[in-house]
Order: sequence, then C-alpha cells, then structure tokens
Amino acid sequence: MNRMNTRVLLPGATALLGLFWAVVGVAQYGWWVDGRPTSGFFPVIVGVLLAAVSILAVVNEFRNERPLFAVSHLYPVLAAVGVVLGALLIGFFPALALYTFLWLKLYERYDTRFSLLTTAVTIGAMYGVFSLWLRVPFPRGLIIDLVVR
Amino acid sequence: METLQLLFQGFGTALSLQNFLAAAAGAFLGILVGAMPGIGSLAGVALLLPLTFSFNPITGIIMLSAVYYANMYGGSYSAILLNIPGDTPAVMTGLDGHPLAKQGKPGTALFTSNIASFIGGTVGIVILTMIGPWLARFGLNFGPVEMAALLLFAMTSLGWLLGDNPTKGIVSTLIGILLATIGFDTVVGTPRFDFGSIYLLGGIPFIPLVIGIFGFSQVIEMMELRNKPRGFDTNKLTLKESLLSKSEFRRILAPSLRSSLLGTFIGVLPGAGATTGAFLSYMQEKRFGKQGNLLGTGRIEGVAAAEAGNNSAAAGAFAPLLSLGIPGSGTGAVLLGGLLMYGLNPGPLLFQSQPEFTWGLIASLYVANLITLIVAIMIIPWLIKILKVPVKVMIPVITVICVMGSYSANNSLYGIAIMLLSGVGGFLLKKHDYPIAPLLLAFVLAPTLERNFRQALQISDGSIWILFQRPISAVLIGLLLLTLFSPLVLRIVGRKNITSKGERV
Repeated sequence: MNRMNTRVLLPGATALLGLFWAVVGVAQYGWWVDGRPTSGFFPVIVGVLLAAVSILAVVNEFRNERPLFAVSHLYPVLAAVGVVLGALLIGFFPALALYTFLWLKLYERYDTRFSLLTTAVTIGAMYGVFSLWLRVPFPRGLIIDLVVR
Repeated sequence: METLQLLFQGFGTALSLQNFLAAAAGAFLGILVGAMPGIGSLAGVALLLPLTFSFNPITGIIMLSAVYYANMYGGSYSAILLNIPGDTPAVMTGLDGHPLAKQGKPGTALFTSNIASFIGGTVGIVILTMIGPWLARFGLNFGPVEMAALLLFAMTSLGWLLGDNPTKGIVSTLIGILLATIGFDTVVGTPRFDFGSIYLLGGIPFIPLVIGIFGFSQVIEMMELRNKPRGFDTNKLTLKESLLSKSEFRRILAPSLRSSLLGTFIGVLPGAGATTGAFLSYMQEKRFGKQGNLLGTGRIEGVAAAEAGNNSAAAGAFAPLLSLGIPGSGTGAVLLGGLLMYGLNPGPLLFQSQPEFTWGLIASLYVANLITLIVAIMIIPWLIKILKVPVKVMIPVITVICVMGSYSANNSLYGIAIMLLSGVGGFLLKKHDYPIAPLLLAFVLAPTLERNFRQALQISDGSIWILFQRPISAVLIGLLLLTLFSPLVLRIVGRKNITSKGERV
C-alpha cells in the first residue's frame, strides 16, 4: 500500500497552510499591542490550531486506503473554464447555450432535438430570471462589443 | 387583552384586498427568489424594494416583509433537491433534506420543510406579538462578551457534532475560519491576507463559495454516477407519496416546537440572524433529540429543526427592528431602510405613534406565513419532478445554474473563479471524508465571533476572565466546557464502572 497518497497529502497541505497563516499573522499583522489583540491575533490562533489538528489527521490517515479519482472528474471543471473564456468572446448566454448543447449532443450522445430543447428551456429560464427580471449585467462578449462600437 | 385587540385591528388592515394581494405577491416572489441560488434574502429584498415605491407605506412594507419571510421557505428547495442552498440558513436543511431526496423522498423533505417553516414562523410571530418589545430589550443584554461566548459555544460544537470523524470536522471548521480572515479586518478596518489583490481585499464572497462547495463539487461527483440508475423508483415521485403520515407529523412536531423557541430567541440577538438560528436549532436536535445521532443521514427531524429554527429567527428579528430600530441582519437593515424611506421611525415610540402600521405589519406576517405555506405546498408536485430528470442531463443544467448564480452574486467573473476553486476544493474534501458544512458555517460565523471576541478583550484590557464574570457568558462558557468534556468524563466513568463490575465478578 502506498502510504504517501492524497489522504496524507491533503491534511499535510492544510497543516502547512495553518503554519503559513500563523507566521504571516504574527510577522505582518502583530499579535498583541498595548494589552489589546491586533489584526493578527485571530489568524494566528486559527493557523496554529489548524496546523496541530491537521498533523493529527495526517497520523490517522496513514492507515487508510487512498480514494480513487477518474479523468472524467476534470471534465466539468474544464467545461466551466471553457464557458468563462467563451463568455468573454461571444457573450455569457451564447457561451452557456453552446456548452449545454454540445455537452448533451456530443458527450452524452442525446439526439439533436432533445439537446436543443433542453438547452432552450434551461438558458431561456436563466435569461428570463437573471437578465430580464433581476437585470444582472452579463458580459456581452468581445465580438458584440466590437460590432456595437 | 389590549394586545389582542390591537392585533385584531391589525388584521383589519392586513386583510384589506390591497394588502392581502401585496402579501400574496411578496410570498410568491420570495419563494422564487429564495429558491434561486446566488440571490438570497438580502439581495431579494433589496431588488424588490424599488417595486414597492409606488405603494402606500403599509402595503410596501407588508410586501417586503412577505418577501423576506417567503425567502426562508424558498431557500430550502434548491438545498433539498439539488444540494445547492438558496441562502445561508438552508445549508443546515440540506444536511438531511438532500439525503432524503436521494433516497427518493424529495416530497417528504419538501413537505417537512414547509410545515416546519410554518410552525417556526407562527411560533416566532406569536412570541413577537406577545413579548416582542420585552424580548428586544433582553436581547440588548447581549454585548460583545455574551455574543463571543455564544459564538464560541456554537463554533466548538461544529466540528464535534457534524460528521463521523471529529478530527476531520475540526479541520474543516478551521479552514472555514481561516478563509474568513481574508479581506478587511472589521475591527480596525485594515486589509489582511489580501496578498496585494484587489479582489481578495473584499474577502471571499460567500455565495460563490457556497455554490462551489455544495453545487459544483456535486457536479464533479455526479460524473461517477452518470450511467448508474437512480436508487429509487421515479414513478413514486407524486404529491400523494409526499404527504406526511400521522407518525411522521408526530416525529417533526417536537423538534419544530423546540427549534422555534430557540430560533426566535436567536433571531432577537443583534447580528445573530437566521443562519445561527438554524444552526443552533439543528445542533440542539442533534444533541438532545430522540435519534439525534442519526441526523445527517436523511432524517425529517433534521429538516424540521433547521427550517423551524431559521423561520422563527426571521420572525424574531422583527422584534429589535420594530421596537428598537436595530436590524438583526443585513436583510433587516434593508427593511429598516425601507421603513425610513417611507417616513416611519422604528423605535420604542413606533408602537404608540404608528399603531395601525405596526400591528398591520405584525398581522400581515401571520397572513403571509399562511399564504406562503399554501403556495409552497401547491408547487411541490412541480418541484419533485426535477428528480425525474436523468443525471446525465442534470450535469450541464446544474453547471449553468452554478455559473449564473456565482456571477450574479457580485456581477463579476471573480465569483465564477471562486466557485470553481471551491468546487474542486469541496470535491477533494468530500472524497477524503471531510464534512463540508462546518467549513461554510464557520466561514459565516467567524467574523462575528472575531469582532465580538476582540471587543470583549478590549473592554477587559486583555483579560479573558471577562467571559466568566458576566452571568450570561459564564453560563454559555459553562455549557461549552460541558460539551467539550462530558464525552471524556462519561468515558472515564464508564470504564470505571466496567472495571469495578469486572472486579466483583
């Protein structure tokens, strides 16, 4: 069994994060001045506690099996990053519509009619609530901005 | 007796056709806005404030109050069905509500949520009617020292009571507190842990964080379940199957009533709010309920405790708002703004100078609560259909909701970035069996704890003993120590008993 796996690495990382917080807290924001706590007081306590409890978690985790990950776990993250980049270029709603349609049609292999209908209902409802009713200003995208200008 | 007379006069005002319709419209819009991840009650009330400009003051405020109230109902729907809390208090509802939905009982969870919300709201309003001004004055006894003790008590319970592994629960809690220290130090107003970024200067926005940790992390998890059939028969998702049986109703009645009393009291405290109300009510049920140890696995008692707690806290928050002019939360502050805008000055004299308005508003809360319950039950058949949608289709649809909700929180792509990062972080934590609810609750409660704790230390010139010197805080610290050490003491006593029995044998 490989003992150095994500079960150990995760609390290891939180221990380091806690230590970093405590050190920066003391060094940059101080701990106690004129008998009163300063900005670093709370982060230092939390940082030290996090480091200590995380080390305890590391010790406990050595006995456990590592969890399994699949490449497919990354797909929604990559798709969401693609939506953001697409939103900057072609606008928010076209990017979301394109993503929904392509995911259903190409990845899930639904037929064109179902994919189009689901995309229209989802994006239509979102557009109605967020853009028309609540008037959230979504990016129109570089292309529309250039055309309008 | 005089109170009842004034209340009846208030019903006369609230039940005029115009005010009744305003309360009904507010209830409907409130449910809709509350169920929408990324909006929340604060933004909901703020967004709908301009709508009421054309109304007379009483009608306008009645509508806003109904929106605020109905928000609490709506917030739980997306938490139960999609595991994306519509607002912060619904985080607690999702702990048992979503597992119930996954077991094929979304309707039961929604019904429980609605009934408990109604009970919580009603108890809260009754208490507000009877002893509202007195309760508001009592709430003022909670200064920084008492609030620090209350929040220390709440935060200490977090890691211990949520999840199976206390060490992992505490790690999760501490990560939440640590993230909350990013941004402005609210006590002295200086930037902290911003690493030179203007985005981090304002701290980590809560809504994208909650959408990421609960919603988007679930989308990533769903990739494993794409081709697996649902663990329940989707044909049974009907209104008839969702109705509560007599025994189920009996099971939720006591938790709802207990949580309503606690929630109303929490709602009265300045700065505590519905989230603390829901959280402490859930904790109370987990600790003292008949089957508290099963909470978190899909128990209707958990849904009832959280919902009754948050709705009663929402009602309780009206006590300091009306009697003292002190808003208990951000949403309360917007309502206060609305009152001032209409030329009404909340405070001790409001009950005398504007009795028609004040009692009309209180009566309208009863009406709004009932209307919201009716609307909420009527939409259950449509809501439960969501779970008939295959997981393969849910993945892109929930992703779209996550992206829209996190962008709308502060109209910035930064919100989406936070949502993505916290989604991946939440997925990693869940995959390694770390509970994620303590992280979010700690993130919400930590700034209030830090502010009050540091103010308490400033008052006492740095002496921590001040927590033991005031009666209310001393009791709370006593409870905290009892919570921390009672399992240890019980274990030692248990061991001694076993040893002594063994010796006798």
